[in-house]
Amino acid sequence: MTTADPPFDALTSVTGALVDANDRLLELITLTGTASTSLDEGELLDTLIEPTIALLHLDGCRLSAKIERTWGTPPTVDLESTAHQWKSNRNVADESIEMVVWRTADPFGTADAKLLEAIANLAGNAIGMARMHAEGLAQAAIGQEHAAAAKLASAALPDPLIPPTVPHATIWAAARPARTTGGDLFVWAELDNQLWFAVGDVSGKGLPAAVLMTVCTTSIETAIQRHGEQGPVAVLDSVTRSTHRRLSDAGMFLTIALGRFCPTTRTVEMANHGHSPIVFRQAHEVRRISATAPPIGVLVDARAELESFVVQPHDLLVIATDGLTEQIDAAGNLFGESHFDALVASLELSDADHVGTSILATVDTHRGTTAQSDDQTLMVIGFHCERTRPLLIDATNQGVRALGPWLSEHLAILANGRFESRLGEIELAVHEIAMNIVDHALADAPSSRFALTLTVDDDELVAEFRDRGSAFGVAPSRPDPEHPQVGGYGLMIVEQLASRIERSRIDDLNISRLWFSSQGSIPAASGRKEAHDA
Amino acid sequence: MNIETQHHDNDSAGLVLSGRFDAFETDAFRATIDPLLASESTAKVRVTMADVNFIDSSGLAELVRSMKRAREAGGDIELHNPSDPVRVILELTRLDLAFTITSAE
Repeated sequence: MTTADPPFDALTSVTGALVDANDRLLELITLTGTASTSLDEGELLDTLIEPTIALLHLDGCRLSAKIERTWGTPPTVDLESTAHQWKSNRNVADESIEMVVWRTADPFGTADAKLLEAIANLAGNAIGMARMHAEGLAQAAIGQEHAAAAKLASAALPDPLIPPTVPHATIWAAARPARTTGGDLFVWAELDNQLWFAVGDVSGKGLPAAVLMTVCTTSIETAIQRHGEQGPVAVLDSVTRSTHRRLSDAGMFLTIALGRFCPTTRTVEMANHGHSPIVFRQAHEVRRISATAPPIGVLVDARAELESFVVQPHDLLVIATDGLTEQIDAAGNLFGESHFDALVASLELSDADHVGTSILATVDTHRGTTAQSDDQTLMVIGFHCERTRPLLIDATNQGVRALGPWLSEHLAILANGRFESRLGEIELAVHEIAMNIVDHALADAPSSRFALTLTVDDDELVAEFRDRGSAFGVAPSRPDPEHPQVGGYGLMIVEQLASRIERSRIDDLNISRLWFSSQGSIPAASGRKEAHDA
Repeated sequence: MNIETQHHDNDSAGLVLSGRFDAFETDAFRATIDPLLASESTAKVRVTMADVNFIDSSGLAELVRSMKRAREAGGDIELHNPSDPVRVILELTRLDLAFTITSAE
């Protein structure tokens, strides 16, 4: 008869327990590793619960959250309140999650409970992570929809690169949407040789503001066409009639400044329903054009008063939305209304696009790395003397030949003979810049065209080219008469004929400007020859 | 631009240009002057420019190219009676110091 050997049994039992514990540990390590490789809630729980069932020899497991899932086999007898069932409750992302496991073979011990507690935690974290991931995806989809909506809304606005042209005024505008869609708008049009312009801001943010912005933009454009003859107040009356109910029902409103410029009388007429800031600059003195009626959408019978003023060359009219004046810096300081007025007063510029880009650049400097907090829309109208309509030039050697006759004809009309003695020199300089555009900016686009306009301001002529070619810069060469080079003389010639040359690029638009003085004619050829001989 | 070729009695030839000498005309000018410059019997080419009413940097570059080619072969080109637009561009580029310029006798 064999008797039991208590020490050996104990050793076997301890060894078995150690091996068992080690196996569990290894499986637990595997379990935690696999659980983190997926972001799908179903997959994540499968990879967690299925090994758990194997690890703890469970009959089954049930997780109850928004939906209930069961793994393994359901209990055949009632195990409620017995040591054969273990239950845990926790809250994850405001959601109650219950985990129940059961095992008929053995009751759950303290070690099992600790392990199950850890697995329940893992399950809760897995569900939380999966929910956050799903929510992130949904947010991204909403973000994409908003971006698409913003793009659609901005399509309702005019192309900032194609402003209308009228004599004595140049208009420039830019609309910079914030991260989410907003309600800023601008409108411009030439009607019966008059320049119409408007800047507005539909209250609120997001899709509702963007949708109402497109409605308002269409209404303004239609009203200008239908009621323009009766002036700005009548146009805004019409806009009020067609948009008040929709704005009011949505609990929103539209601030808008609308005006027209008549080149014949050099008069600006404006109507302002609650819009700010509008700054008029004359001789570096600025004044605000104030609102005379509440925003559209507040009172159905509100009517603005007409503000009328005569403009002089170099005057500026700047209309913005509050996204510019209310832009904050890193410390939370607003750009500010008075800062905006002081900036407009101080700019040593009167070209609309230069003023506009300078204002935006100054606001951007103030903003620094802080996000743009709201839509920002800016419109600048620069007033000047006579200006031609653009000459569109084919980007070919032959196309540039249209310059000579056009310059001759338009300078005679524009400047009343003041530049007659310099016509040949002006043509040469302007021709050289045109050839630079053909040879460099538009070298890859020979079927495209570019534009030339002339502005005469007192005794100064400005020739302005606009092209949508590549950015280019050509440095003037300094030829050595002893060893003359074959080419590269163009800019050297222009530098001596023009009193000033300037190049800039706004978005995809190259702007090249040449200034000529009527008094600056170079000496006669023979005179220069004598100077060289001397 | 109109280009008229003249053959002189000695070792020189002549071109008479009139009208506009710009980038659009450089190929025609080159096609006319290059055979003269390549001819062994021609040492000098006189380019009369009294009736050139416009010349740009491309036309000017073509004159410089021709002048360099002629001098490399031991010859020269002579700009004869340049009009005011031609004189202006030559002087602006200081190339009046590089070319042989002659006036009507």
